[in-house]
Amino acid sequence: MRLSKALAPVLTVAVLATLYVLAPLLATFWIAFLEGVPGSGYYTIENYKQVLTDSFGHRALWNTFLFGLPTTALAMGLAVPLAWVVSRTDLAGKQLIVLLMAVVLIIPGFVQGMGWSVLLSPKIGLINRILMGSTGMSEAPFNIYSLWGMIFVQSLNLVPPAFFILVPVFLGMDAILEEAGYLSGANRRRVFLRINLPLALPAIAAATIYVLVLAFSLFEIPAILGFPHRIFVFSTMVYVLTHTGSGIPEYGLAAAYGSVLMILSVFLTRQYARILREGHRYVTISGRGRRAGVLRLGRWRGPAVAAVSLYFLLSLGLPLLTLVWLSLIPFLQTPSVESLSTMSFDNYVNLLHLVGLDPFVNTGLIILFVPLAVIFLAVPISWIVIRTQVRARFVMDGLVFLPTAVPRIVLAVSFLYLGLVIRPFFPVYGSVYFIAGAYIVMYLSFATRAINGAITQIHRELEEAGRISGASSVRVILKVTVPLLKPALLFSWLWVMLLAFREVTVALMLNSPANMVLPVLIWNRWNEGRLPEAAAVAVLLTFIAVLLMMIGRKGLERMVMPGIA
Amino acid sequence: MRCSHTDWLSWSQRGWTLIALVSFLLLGISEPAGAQLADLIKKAAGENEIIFQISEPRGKYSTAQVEQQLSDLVQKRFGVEVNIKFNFALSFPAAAARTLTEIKTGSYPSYDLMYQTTGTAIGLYRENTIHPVRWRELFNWISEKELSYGGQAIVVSTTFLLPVYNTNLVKPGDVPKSWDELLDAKWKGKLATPIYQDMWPNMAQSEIWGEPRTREFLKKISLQNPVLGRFPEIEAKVISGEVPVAVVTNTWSVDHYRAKGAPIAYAAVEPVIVFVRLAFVPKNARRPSAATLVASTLLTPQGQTILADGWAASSLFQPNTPAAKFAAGKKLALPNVEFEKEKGLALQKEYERIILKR
Repeated sequence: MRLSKALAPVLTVAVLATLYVLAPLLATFWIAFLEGVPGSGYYTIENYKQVLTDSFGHRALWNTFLFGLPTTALAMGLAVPLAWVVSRTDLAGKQLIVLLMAVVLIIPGFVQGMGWSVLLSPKIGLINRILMGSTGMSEAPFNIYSLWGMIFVQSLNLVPPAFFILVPVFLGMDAILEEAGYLSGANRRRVFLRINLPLALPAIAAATIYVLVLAFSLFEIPAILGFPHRIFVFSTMVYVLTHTGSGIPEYGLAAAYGSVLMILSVFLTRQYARILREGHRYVTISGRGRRAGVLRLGRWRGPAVAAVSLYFLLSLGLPLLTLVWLSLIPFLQTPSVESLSTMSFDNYVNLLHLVGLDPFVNTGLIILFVPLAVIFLAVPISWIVIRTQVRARFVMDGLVFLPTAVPRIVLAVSFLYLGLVIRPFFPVYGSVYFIAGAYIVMYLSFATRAINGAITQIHRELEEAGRISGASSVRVILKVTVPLLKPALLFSWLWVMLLAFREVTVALMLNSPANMVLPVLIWNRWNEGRLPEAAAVAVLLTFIAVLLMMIGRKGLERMVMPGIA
Repeated sequence: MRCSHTDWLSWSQRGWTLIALVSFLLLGISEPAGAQLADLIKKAAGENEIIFQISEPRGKYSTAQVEQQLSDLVQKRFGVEVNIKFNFALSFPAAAARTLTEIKTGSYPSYDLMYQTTGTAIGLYRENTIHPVRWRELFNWISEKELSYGGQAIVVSTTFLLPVYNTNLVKPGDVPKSWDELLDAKWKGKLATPIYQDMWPNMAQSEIWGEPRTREFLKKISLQNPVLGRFPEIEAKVISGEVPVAVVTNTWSVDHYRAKGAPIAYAAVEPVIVFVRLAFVPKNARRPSAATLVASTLLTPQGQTILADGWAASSLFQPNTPAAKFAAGKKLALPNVEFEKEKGLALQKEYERIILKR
């Protein structure tokens, strides 16, 4: 659709949203040319010189690739079959699987890291001790404090994002195309490889790019499992730079490194844009036809159930049990007869008394405000990108995607500085809305990825029918497109809510006395050496998340899993 | 020349007038301390509440209770009600960095009162971002030796740093008896050490180890492949047995955990590194008067009791305190603020690079 006055309202919202995202990104580049504390520094290129010459940075960069690529491969290797099995087969308990996947998503990564460090620490790890005791090994077989340990935990943690991107796509596939394959004599495997997989490729590519960029920039698990053993990746290196003990953070150098990752993201985004441009070949929902049916697992049922169960045992069951154990004891210790006698509910009983209601209230405000704002801004952007021929649309899409590639610590530094600059005019700095504003920038990209993929699968003829009938573009979007986007919108809303619920890095950097949220509370408890209290808050956070999931469950089932009782 | 009575009176009057004039001028320049304090109290009454950056209390009272105790003390001493909110969300270095950033960008800091070590807040001192308070003029219980940072901050407590070990994993004969014993090959891969290096400039002073020896020591520690963490993290690792020995951490934490039955103790090596903990009001603080009053109470006997109960902290510069008793007879590595101001930041950065292998 060409640029016209009719597009003005949609385009205005999309452009303003893009500018809102652009501001902190530009600030990152600006800070990168500064030395010293923002406000009293001077311009220099020394930061970029150091990026090019610093061996520590090169080591961190190399580790980032060694960490990010296998993590992505493993996460996608688990997510694609899981999403397929849940959305396209007769596997029982799908609602439970979706619920559990959401729970895995909302447990902050560092909490899983904590759980696994207790389970697989070479010295005190429970699993290691059991294995050594039963086999007579003198050395622990597993060391979680290694690159492979980080990859293992992070990949488990990154399955849910890919899963939630892929499920609506698999669900929305047109039955006609599959039936045509079967009628031609192809078996299920052939239909999957020659029809389903190619049709799902844009979504798989989108999910892979998203997971890859996350893996390159995430902080929590590298901070817990790698940092203490001097395995630095980009995010933990940036953390070191901005949390130096000498009192003057190296914001400029942190921003310079962050801008390097942004360049990588631009490259990835270009590939993604190329896939989108060929999107019309991947239409599955058209004006005709119906959704694809459910496939019988048959003899694959057992292995499927085992695989799903194993995934949740590793990603959720074991870490959660460890958290529960930690939350019931006064200090970190492995289970024994002696330690069992120290169990109590003190850490829960004293919690409100210790921390007050503020973290709960602030977290509630975040999860209410952020998803709504993100959806409101994402729909116009995605529609402009996919449906119009506005020349700058892919630039807009790329800009919105960029924050995903920026280490959240770096984005937080930008927000911190911008917040201080505008403080006299717009005193949002230090408030919970300051954190919410940063989250909108961070999560807009996920919503646009999901909605882009969903709009791609809606044939233009449906909207054209509306326009031919005399409806305006805005009316067509609201009355035709948005209803068809409901699964994607709901998933985006849920996903953004969960992400905002569990996000810790940005909230930690922007933390002030007035805006403490639950994940930061867990982090602070842990950093104060109060692991049992941190575990208690983490268990509570998980409980609240499950509650949220149960409340939204029926709506989810209606929109996402039609026909399932 | 004879001076008549009238002339004498005239000279006398002129003399007294001159004395009165000078006295008036002097009184005007140096207002009585009582008046200054009264003015401070009046301003504090309008400020109502302060945000106090400090570590979390770990004693028998909850955070809310300790906040109330301090607030009651201020009320009792100055007749002012100040609502005190502790904030321990950020580590000391992170809080100092945040405050420095906020002030340097022309904004007000998040904290009204800060509790830091001479090492962690040295950046604030160097950048002249501490609110000047005439501590001794206002509060007659504060002595000269309790001032630091050129008189801008007060020394409220001191804590000690030593190697600590897991008593279940380290035999008595293996407990390090000197700092150098930590460099023994038997500890390779079995040590934990802090991320932040603000304690080592104490040792780098020429009268303690000197810079070359301190540098060499830390290079060798780095070769021992220590696990990194903040103090509470490495203490937790020692307690759990993940790491049998921590190179250095706070003795007051050890006492706290031991009281709960944790298998942890500190090694009696010398010199003992001393953290001198300060209270000061950062520049541009929104509630400087209330913050000043609260800080001053920390050096009263009741304030010292609150610090001791809440943080097992007391000042070794005050007589008969637990800190003074612990320090008696030991060789101490006390910080030198001017040395820290001149070289502390550069040394911390260098030591950080060594330990992080940057």
